[in-house]
Amino acid sequence: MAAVAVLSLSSESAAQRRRGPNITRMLQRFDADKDGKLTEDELGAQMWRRMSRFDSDSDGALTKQELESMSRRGGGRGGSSDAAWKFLADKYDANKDGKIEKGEYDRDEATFTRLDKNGDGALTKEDWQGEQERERGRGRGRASRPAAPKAGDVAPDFELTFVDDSEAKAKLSSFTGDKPVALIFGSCT
Amino acid sequence: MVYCREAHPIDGKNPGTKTVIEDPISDQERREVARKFVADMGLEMPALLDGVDDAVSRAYASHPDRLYLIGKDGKVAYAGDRGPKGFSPKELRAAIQKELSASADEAAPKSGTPKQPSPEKGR
Repeated sequence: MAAVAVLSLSSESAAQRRRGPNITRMLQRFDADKDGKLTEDELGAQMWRRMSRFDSDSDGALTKQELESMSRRGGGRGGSSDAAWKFLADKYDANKDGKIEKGEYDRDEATFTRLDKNGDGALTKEDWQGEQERERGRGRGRASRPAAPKAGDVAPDFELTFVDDSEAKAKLSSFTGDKPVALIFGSCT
Repeated sequence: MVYCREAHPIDGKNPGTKTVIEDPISDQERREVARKFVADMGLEMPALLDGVDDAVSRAYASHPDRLYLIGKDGKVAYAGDRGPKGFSPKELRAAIQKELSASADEAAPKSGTPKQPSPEKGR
């Protein structure tokens, strides 16, 4: 938790997420050998990992056409309800009747109930239709986002285990008087 | 880093399709996802796991992502804006530099007269 080694998540990727990629600019910036394609060497491992799925012919390079298809799809961010339904149906709809029933879904009931938007007791494609629009509408009215501590506030103390060791713990206040601590909150998606 | 709730799980309201992850429902599940994440990203910094109760994330309003620097005095030295828009490693870097140079000043001996050994107390 030392205040170093913090800057591996580059600001470039954050900016790109915000705007969606501009293909011309990307080529200008990254296409070092000016062949009109972007490769892993040119993009760096982190960006390549995010973008390589748009390499539809799997030749290890993203052509302008492939980049455009990426751009149309918002750079691969955000969601697709169809894909979500397909993933869950593939995984849980054992009898392939187009419905995931409670008995088929082996995770918790709270998630099942949340996903069963229309409350008909089974998960179907309909539960995902129009989902994003509904949620966005709901999001706008959301008033109860917790307040974030501000500079100068006493940092809320916590003690958490390490990801790779459920026995080892770190307590924030144990660093007080010793060294500063950078906190980077995040997840995979 | 503090690994917390997935922003775009496949069974969430805005599913992400690049990295397909079901929202972990137990600490154990979350730990497995976090482990894989740390390994895939090649993260070398210490990584902590927020529980599925999201207690720490809530205390820091850190969903989906956010940066902080806690000073040596235990107070918030830098509070980034809410991510992903407000997620600025650049700002964090500046805050770290400021914090480190402040504590270096503090640790450095004061210029001028060197500290004299305290005079022996007469008895």
